[in-house]
Amino acid sequence: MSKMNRREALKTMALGTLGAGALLTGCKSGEETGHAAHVHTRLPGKIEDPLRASPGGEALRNWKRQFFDEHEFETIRQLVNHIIPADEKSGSAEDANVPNFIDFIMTENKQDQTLMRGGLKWLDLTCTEDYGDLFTNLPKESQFAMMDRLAWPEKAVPEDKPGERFFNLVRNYTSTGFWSSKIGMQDIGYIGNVPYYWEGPPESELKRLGLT
Amino acid sequence: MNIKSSSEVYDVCIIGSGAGGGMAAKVCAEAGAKVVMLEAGPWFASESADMLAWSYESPRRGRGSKERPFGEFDACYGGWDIEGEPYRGDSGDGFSWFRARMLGGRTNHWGRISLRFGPDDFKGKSKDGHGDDWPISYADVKPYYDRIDQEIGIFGSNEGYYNEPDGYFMPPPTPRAHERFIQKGATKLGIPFIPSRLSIITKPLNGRAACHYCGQCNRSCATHSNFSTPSVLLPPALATGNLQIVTDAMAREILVKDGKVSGVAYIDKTTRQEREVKAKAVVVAASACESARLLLNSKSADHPNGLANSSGVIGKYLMDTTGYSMGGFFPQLMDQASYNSDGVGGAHLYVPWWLDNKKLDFPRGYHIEMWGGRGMPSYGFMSDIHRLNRFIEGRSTGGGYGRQLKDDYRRLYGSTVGFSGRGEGIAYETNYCEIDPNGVDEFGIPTLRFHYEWSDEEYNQVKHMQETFNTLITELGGIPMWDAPGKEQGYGITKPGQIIHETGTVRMGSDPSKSAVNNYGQAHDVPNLFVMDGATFVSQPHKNPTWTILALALRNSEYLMDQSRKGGLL
Repeated sequence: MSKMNRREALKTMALGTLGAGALLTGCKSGEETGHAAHVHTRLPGKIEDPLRASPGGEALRNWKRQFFDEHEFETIRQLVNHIIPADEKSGSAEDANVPNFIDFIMTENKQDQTLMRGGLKWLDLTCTEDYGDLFTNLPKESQFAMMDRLAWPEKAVPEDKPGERFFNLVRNYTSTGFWSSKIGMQDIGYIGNVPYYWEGPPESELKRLGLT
Repeated sequence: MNIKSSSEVYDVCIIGSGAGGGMAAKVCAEAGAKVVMLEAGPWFASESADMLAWSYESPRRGRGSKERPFGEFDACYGGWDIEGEPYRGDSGDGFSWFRARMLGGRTNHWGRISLRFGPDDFKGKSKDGHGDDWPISYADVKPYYDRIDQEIGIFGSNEGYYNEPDGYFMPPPTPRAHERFIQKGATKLGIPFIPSRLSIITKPLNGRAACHYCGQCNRSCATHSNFSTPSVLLPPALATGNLQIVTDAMAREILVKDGKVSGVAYIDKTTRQEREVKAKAVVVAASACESARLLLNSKSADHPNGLANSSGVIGKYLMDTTGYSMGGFFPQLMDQASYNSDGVGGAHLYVPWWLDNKKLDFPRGYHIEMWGGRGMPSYGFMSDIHRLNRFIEGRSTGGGYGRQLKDDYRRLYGSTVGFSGRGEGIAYETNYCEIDPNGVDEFGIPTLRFHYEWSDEEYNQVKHMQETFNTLITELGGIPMWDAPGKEQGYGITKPGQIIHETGTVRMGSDPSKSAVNNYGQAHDVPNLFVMDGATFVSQPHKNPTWTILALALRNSEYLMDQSRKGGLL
């Protein structure tokens, strides 16, 4: 089956299925039956979420910063672009709205707020002490020198451990934010989420894996 | 309090809309009985689910929450921790109580794994001395399994395993690449990966469309291609005109008059008003522990220990399935080609119990579920990549950033495969739930407290899972992703309740002094009261309970209708 959007897909698939939807889209009101029946066509906390994009759209495109201050947000922007930069295949983390994603998710993931905020401060203090300025003001070579100390957990020296934990947190959120975006999914080759007929892996792939 | 009562007397009141309640509603409504169903959660229709939504449509990218622990797109609204409905689960090894609060209950949650209990599963005590035998045998249930296979639909393959009975299967989906890779290596080790048996239809059935392979069964299916009660059983039941469903109705007490059940008192959750329905028979199918709670809370002068509890067994013999998981990184699965491998929701292959317990130091078996593949990236995608990319050839350590890291993600996507063991826990009288003398929920209904301890039988079984998974991963050229927990950590066994297969709290039996209900789920003490969920199970094999709940509910509802036709019961 060729690619179609969700609305078309649902419409197409509804043909030839039983009319259960019609039966289940509403129950009688309490007044009609003498019972306290309540009609819920959708569950709490689902779909009506105003932050949700329409089918096929991307949420957070126009997100207004809430968690970070301006300097923190700029630091995150630079960090995520170093973690996942643009290359010949796809755009950068920023192109995929990762800074917005992290700002949003920090408003909900309260357990990570202290490490995120404290880590950013730790980064600036350490950069100022060791390289002479805030992370965002440093030349790329110094930024990379700082990141090299944090990006390899087994190699990080004990004094850098808070920074290493912070960096891993940012890398994890960057990974989610980038690869679960439209750009990221195209890049990594996820081409599902459409109705189709599964006939198995292509022969060439089975051959490559020694499975023929 | 102003108690409002409907004047209508229904033939049957069903409490709960999950597998048992849904099947009872269909059978009774189609037989012409006037049925009212009480559901503690809100209404739900499969069409309003998140099928085919992209991760990026949500700012949370699919992250789970307290109310939706399996992700925001998951159909099931509920969880182990529900606001205003507490319980105590801190005794012994603890107990985590999962509750679904929506039309269809946990049929909206499960993995559609539909395994028949086999001949040995009904006669465990006769075989190895542990637990108790069921008062019924596989032969009693087989005709009903046969019917639900054909009426609800299931795919699988006939393999001829004695205790993993074959059925009426639609063609199974062909395995994915990583599943074939594991299957090939495991076969050499004598571990049989066979087609999964899932209640997903691969051919049209009764007006329902065949699966369209989006791999999102857990989100509920808008085309009714997999099983859940709101999708498959309630539409035909409602079509009879004989079924009335009341949502947001929290059953509080079953009412008794002249030695028989006369109706149900419930709280309308939206107004907190107490209400009542009258019925000639009551079917309890609220989920094992909720059903036990309701019966224990239905005390009266004639039933001081709770309704149908002259034996004192209600709440006891609580069981859950054991669980243990291990992931492996397989370098051979790096750099995979890009194509749509969504398939059905869940693994296309699994391992049935394949060994002889007589040669092992534990009495009951487990099956193996497999995970992995190149599913839709969502929240948590390839977290902690430093634990993985250190295994790439030529690397001395893991982590990094920049172009190389970006390429690592691409290369490693789909290179991990994991295994989860799901094993039988023995039924013990000493594992139980009971009314907590100090607790009430927000509706004023007394709450439960739990006591549960795993025994050596379960620990030894989970230790065996560890050894199996370690062999599977290392012998196939993979690297285990974490260290297996030792004896002092209980070999990493899941906490009771986490596998969400709790059963056994209103057990069936032929001796009224040792069981609460008879072969048909009918209370020994009260003839017009039936229990039709997993509470009646005498044992909980490693197999997911739903298919057996459905088969028994079909059998027992037909018995109920038969009894009413013969007169006397209704």
